Amino acid sequence: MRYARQRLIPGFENLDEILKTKKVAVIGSGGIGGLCLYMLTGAGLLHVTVADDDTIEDSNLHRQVLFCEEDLGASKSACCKRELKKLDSRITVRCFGRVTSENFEDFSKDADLVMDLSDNVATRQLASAMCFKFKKDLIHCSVAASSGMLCAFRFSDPEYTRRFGCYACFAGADAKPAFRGITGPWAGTMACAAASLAMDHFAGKDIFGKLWLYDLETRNIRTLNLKRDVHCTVCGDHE
Amino acid sequence: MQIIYNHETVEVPEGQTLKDFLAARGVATYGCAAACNEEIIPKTMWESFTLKEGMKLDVFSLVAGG
Repeated sequence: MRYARQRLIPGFENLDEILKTKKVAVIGSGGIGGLCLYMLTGAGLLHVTVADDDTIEDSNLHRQVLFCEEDLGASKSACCKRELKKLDSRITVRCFGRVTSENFEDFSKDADLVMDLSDNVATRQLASAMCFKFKKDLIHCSVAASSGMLCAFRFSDPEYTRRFGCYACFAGADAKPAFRGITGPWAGTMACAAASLAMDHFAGKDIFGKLWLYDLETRNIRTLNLKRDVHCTVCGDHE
Repeated sequence: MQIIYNHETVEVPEGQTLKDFLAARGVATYGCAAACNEEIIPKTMWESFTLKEGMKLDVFSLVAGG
């Protein structure tokens, strides 16, 4: 039985039954997104929308575990769909290219959760703003070199947003993270952290309001509390 | 006065703001976020946020890769 070992975990006894009724929309199927989607599919998720307009390059192969040499030049979202269907033939995968403000509503249509596993700050700002607009709960997971960030925004709950804000509240509208390289294991660690957080969410645990900072070199994880910026251009008080 | 900045005790002038503190250390604000006593300091407040004796200040790099 596919989920026998998962069902032994306290709190996860019927997680697969819950997951098969849920829809998750994921931005990015690369270093974090690919493995995260694979883990969630393995856990029982059967309805996925994946957005990725990239094609597979040689420099991806050391960490983007869904892809292989034969996939060079191919669409990431299409190859992702292929691999997820190999794992579980029951899964439905809807593929998108780049998410934009024009297509985000369609992309996130009916989604119980959006996961921003993209690779650039512009998309991350967009994802947070659009999820706030359409009241979609959002998991944000990012990594660069040995630093990882993981947090979740409960935009479906106005009271949550009033207290904890959005991505722009702590990153700022002018965020410009530096490009710093990455290893396969570090990307994989954050991928599994994101998948685990999503599983906790669907199992009924409260995952919102915290920002976890991962130091993947020292293996330390720090927990911070999010706080809304009343002047935020996305979720702040507007007259 | 003294604060704890990224796990190190440092001396800062009384009344110094977070923005001025980071500028004095050459930290570019567009590439980082900050927390005081484990709570995020919203970005637009950095200019008015005044450091106080004993504060635990964490400034960390933003990352966006995936």
